[in-house]
Amino acid sequence: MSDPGQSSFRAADLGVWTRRAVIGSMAAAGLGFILFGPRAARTAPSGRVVLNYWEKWTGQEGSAMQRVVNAFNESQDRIWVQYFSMSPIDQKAMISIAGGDPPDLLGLWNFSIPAFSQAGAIEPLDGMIDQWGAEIERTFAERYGDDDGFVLRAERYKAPVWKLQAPAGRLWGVVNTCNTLGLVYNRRAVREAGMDPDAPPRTIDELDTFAERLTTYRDGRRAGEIDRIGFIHREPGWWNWIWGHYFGGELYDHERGAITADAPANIRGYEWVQSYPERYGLGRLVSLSSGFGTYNSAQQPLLAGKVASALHGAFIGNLIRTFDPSFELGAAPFPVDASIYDPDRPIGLLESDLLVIPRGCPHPREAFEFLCFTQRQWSTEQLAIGHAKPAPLARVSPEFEAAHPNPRIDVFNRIAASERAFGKPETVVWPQYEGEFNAVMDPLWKGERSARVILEGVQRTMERHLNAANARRARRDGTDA
Amino acid sequence: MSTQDGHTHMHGLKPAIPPGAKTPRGRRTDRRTPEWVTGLLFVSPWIVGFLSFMAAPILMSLYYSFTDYPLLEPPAWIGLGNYAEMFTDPLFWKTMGNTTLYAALAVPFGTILALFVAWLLNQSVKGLVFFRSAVFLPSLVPLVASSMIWLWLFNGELGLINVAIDAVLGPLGVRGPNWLGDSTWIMPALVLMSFWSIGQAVVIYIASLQDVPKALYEAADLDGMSPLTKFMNVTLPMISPVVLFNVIMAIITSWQVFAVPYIMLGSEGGPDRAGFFYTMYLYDNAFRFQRMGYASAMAWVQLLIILGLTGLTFLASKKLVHYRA
Repeated sequence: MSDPGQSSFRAADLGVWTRRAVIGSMAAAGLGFILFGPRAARTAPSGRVVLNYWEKWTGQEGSAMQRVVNAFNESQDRIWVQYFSMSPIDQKAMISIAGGDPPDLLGLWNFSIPAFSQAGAIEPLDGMIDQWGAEIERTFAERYGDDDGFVLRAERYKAPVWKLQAPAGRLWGVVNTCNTLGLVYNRRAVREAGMDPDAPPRTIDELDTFAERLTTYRDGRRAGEIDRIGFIHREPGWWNWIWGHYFGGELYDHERGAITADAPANIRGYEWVQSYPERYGLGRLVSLSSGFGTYNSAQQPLLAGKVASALHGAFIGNLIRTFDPSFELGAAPFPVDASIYDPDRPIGLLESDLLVIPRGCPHPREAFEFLCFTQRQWSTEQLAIGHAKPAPLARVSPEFEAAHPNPRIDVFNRIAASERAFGKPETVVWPQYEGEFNAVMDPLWKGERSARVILEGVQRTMERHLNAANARRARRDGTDA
Repeated sequence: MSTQDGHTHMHGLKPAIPPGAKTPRGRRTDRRTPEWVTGLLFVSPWIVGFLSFMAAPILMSLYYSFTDYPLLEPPAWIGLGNYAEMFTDPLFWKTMGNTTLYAALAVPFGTILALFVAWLLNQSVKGLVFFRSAVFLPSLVPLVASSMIWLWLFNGELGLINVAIDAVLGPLGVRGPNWLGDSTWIMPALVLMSFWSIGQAVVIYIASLQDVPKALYEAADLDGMSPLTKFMNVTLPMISPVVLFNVIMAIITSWQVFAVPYIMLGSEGGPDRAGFFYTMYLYDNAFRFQRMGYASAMAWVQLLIILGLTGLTFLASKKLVHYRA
């Protein structure tokens, strides 16, 4: 063993480091990290106005948006857009706006607009159109050769889509992607059940028959249990509030500003929901649904063959593209009660992602220019294809449907253009309203109470929430006296 | 090592310099920063962090709890309005009930299980290090990752739990439940999952078990005590301060349960809101419903509840906890 005193390195040497030496070393390490440490893959070229754009998308959807951002960045040399994906974007946006440090652009949803606009947290675009519209139109004509006028014109959009971005006639944002819901089904299963996959059900009664014929049962030890259900309301279970609409109901009277959860048509809708566990057996449905895999996987119940048809958006095309390209997808407007069936005016949910400019945006002129860029034909179609969603514009290019991952995108486009397309109720208490429907699905499904009693309960709860919200608003506005 | 003049000459320490003398760099030592200032400077990052990110928000939340504060607009004073509203808010009571039930199940059963596992791991058996690591390991797994694992374990058809139930009880016609899809089974599932992270408590219990004087066991053996009597009359009293500590920590964490049910059941806590807990509703009010004032009031009520429960536990422990002299 060597003598520690003779060693070239002595542990004691560490102890005589002065404070200055320690701090100096740390400063050097910090400087090294700053100079040579990790950094973003792409940085803004010097001399450009940098816009921070917060959006909710990652994966394929995020890549589609990034392509649009890249195209904009490369098409000019004055503005540079930085795309940031974050979740939950509405909550983070709220905090950043309240804190006075918002991004330049925000990707919200159309149902976020009432709360954000009422609080003055987002900028209306009408004034910006007056101020900068003509200039941007000229710029786009010179830069991109656009010759069809200014991009933010109502006639360019499907009428229901324009209504989403301009509720009450005021433009609060622009739709960068929109989504509609229809009935999606497994064509192969329909064929094997002896039905014509090109003749999907049109009415609720037809859907019930369709579902019954598509339902198969197990043999062996678990004989009698459902192997595949023809249709089930709780898959994927994201739109528990929707069923009354297919019987002509609505959840909110926008003119009166009143909750209408227990309207007769809504009650009929939920009686229909309740009829499924009665028809197939609660235990059998519970047993079947307990084995459903998560959405973004090959175990998604439609792809895994546990469900033959479901209420879904066109974006299921992306799932099929990823996990089972051989899946034969069928799609149709969701069936409705026979009394309101009209083949030319399908009924369906239309919702959208909305690009807005927040209050306190550091570069409103530049943000507005990028926002207009996202509304060019090329941009909207790139996004729609990347997200496997319908196009928001009234007219689409000849290449659009051919390039789209959902072979039945025509169906979803038709729903988006329908005058009977409906949106989520525009009320500040929508999060609570949606939560109530999610919560009552279980007692409804179990038949613990009738649909009428359950919806009357939702009505009372939501009236209480709405009245309280209105009272708070009135107190804040000084109109409560 | 000190020399006769009292100066320290140990390896690694600079020799002390007499007051008033010049340092090698020419600065006088009496102009050196007083030690308490140096100390404060060293802890200043923590002090600044605490004041900015803890104390200030705590005080601000107290103020907000008396206001209507929709976050995007300035807060408006409403006095005790938020606190009064809680009495008539069904969801407040629902989440309070769910959280109380969860705590009432997870804390005692978790404590008993952790004690039992610690007792097992305190025996002299082969592979003890492996078993101790295996028990502790889950508490190192991030909550999101463990939630995803348990989502699959609880899957009604493919999940290992139901596969095991089917294998054992299937011939008797018993099927595993829809753990997370049926309101009846959500609470048992979450309580079961809470046992996954007993590792930290187990480690503390093992340490305390090893600290019990052997002489007491020898005396108990001489008295002819059975293993159970020894555990109840020797082990438990000796480790009771540690049990108290773990119980209090468990009460606090069970009253703050959030991430696991939020990830596994979604923002409404699953069917019939069976897994909707107090902190989830607090979060909803703050960020989904834009009612920061009401959420702040809920947070203060939660603090008072936890303080009250901790106080009650301390009171109850006076006769149960044995502190060694």
